[in-house]
Amino acid sequence: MVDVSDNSLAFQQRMRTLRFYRKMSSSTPAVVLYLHDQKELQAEFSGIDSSESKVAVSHLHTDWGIVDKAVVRAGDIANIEYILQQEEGEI
Amino acid sequence: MSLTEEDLRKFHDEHFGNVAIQCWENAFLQSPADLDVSSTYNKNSKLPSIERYPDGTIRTLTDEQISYFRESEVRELKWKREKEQFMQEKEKATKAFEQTSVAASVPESEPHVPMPLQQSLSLDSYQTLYGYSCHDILELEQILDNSFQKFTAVATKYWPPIPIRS
Repeated sequence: MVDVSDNSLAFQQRMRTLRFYRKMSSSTPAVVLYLHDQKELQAEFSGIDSSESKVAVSHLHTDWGIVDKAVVRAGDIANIEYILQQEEGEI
Repeated sequence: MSLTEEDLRKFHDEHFGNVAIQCWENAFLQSPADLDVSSTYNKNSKLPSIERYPDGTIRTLTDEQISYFRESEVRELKWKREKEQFMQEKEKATKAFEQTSVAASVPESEPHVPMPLQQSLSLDSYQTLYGYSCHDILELEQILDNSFQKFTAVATKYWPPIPIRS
């Protein structure tokens, strides 16, 4: 039988992740995608699916130009760097 | 001229004697089954006599021909066996290759289709994991999926087109 505290901990962690992604989807911050082939792509984060397997981005800077809208596979991404703007009064 | 008894005996021996009767029977009284083409030649023929099998069937093949046909039959059987073996090995290799490439052969989903966790976890699993508040999580996940689908609804493609890690 699963301990109640484990359930609540899992719930909180999952909620934190989902809220973070919801906030990012609405604010569309600039991100840097570090891919497994040692490439870096700059884009704007636009969304992600609930299983975190596909990342929707806009204004993706590629070697061939800027792509308006694209979906990047999470399997290709090694790291995502979110460039967050400081809110007023934030240190 | 008068006939004597001796003349009569001579006539009888010539036409009604044992030899004459046998000739008569051979010439006129033989049944058609006993008559065959070869028999008309056998009297004066210099051809070899017809061979027959123990059951009476006429033998039409020589030993040399029989060995040749047997050799070709054995060769054909061997070739058929080798072909069957080759086809079986080929089928095994094809199946083995298909099994190893099953994962790669599964088609990738479209870019605009979200992959929600609901497909892999049942509601009971959610409740087991997160407790009775799992519905909040389900709701948030649905919101994320909806916004994802809304953004990618129009002409959105994968980048890079071919996955880096398959």
